[in-house]
Amino acid sequence: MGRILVVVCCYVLLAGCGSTKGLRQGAEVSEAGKAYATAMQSVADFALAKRISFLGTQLAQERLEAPGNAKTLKASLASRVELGREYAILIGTFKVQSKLLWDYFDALDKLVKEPVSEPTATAAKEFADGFAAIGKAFGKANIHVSPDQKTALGGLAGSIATAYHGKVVSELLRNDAQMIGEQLELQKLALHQFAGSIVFVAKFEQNDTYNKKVLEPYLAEAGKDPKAALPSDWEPSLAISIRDVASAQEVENAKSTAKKMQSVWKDYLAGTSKSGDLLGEATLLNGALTYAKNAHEARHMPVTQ
Amino acid sequence: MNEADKDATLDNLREMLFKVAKSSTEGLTGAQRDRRVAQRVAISRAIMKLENQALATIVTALGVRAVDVQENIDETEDELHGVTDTLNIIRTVARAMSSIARIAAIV
Repeated sequence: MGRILVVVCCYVLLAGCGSTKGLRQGAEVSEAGKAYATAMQSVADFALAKRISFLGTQLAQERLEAPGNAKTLKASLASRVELGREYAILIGTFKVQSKLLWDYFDALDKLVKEPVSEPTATAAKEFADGFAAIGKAFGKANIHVSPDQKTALGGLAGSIATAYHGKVVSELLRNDAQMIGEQLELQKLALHQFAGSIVFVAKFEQNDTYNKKVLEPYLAEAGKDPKAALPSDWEPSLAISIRDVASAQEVENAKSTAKKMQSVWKDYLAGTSKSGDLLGEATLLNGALTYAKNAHEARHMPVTQ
Repeated sequence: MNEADKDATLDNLREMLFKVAKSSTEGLTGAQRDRRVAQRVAISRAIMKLENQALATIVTALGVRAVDVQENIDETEDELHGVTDTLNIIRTVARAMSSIARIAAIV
């Protein structure tokens, strides 16, 4: 009897170890997926903000260069605002799809975090109490379950529940692997598209700021009077034109991180990488995008001096 | 036009816009200046159009697969209900045992 119990306990412990791995993987995949989907929504917003800022700069420049040409200006404004609106609608639709991916990982997260082991252990202890009480009540059996036995029974039931829980999560991840892979591929393409647009505008703005707000006043003031003070926004503009390089670089980093994340997912499915690696890539992606977004917001903050 | 061609066209257009934006309009006549502005408008519109097309392709592909994602969400939620249902059955049986014991003690 004792041997059978030892064998059963070993089996349950082994099953428990495997299931803990399944639950841990599920937790890491869901966390990485949520972080990734959030980052994608954020980069979509960022791309739209950059598009609007680009439009603004371009339209202002045309107004300056084609004064009085109301017909041309009106047509140019209308056509590009229309294209801007089309982009805004596409971004909105993309965000809805990206939120759906977030919802998937959130559902997975809820499944992984559902408390199963502890309540099962408690229920098993109650079960033992009830069993002993029934025997006593009918007076036909003298079943005594000691507190230690109850704890052991509860632990055993908890381990079985964890094993079952982990198996459910592992199977789900296996079944959904292809869908997640396809989504990561499409999200990567979207990021590639957003990054191209963001980096282009960032470089454009950087050139514009450098030429108009840094170089021109620097040379102009020096030509007139070397001792004349530079405009109040000169130093912040210089800082912006320096910082923007790093911002564009971070967006490029995000692009390569998304590519890496997709290959990590493939390796994960092949069993050659861990779910923790996926989480690491998602964290890097978020970090890169946050930096770039903060730099963009700083650039568009009013100059206070 | 395939995706690689679109990317290359987009890159070329961006380069062109950089060049046009960099070149000075000083010394140009009114007509020349208008042409330069029209050129810039055309390039920047073309860039925006291509960017919109590229994003629209991705959004459409995502839309097609949205049904799969929703199905997987529903399945995950079903599994969650399955796990909680199993747990509830164990709890119910435990409670039933206690109730039977109490009734038996009274009888």
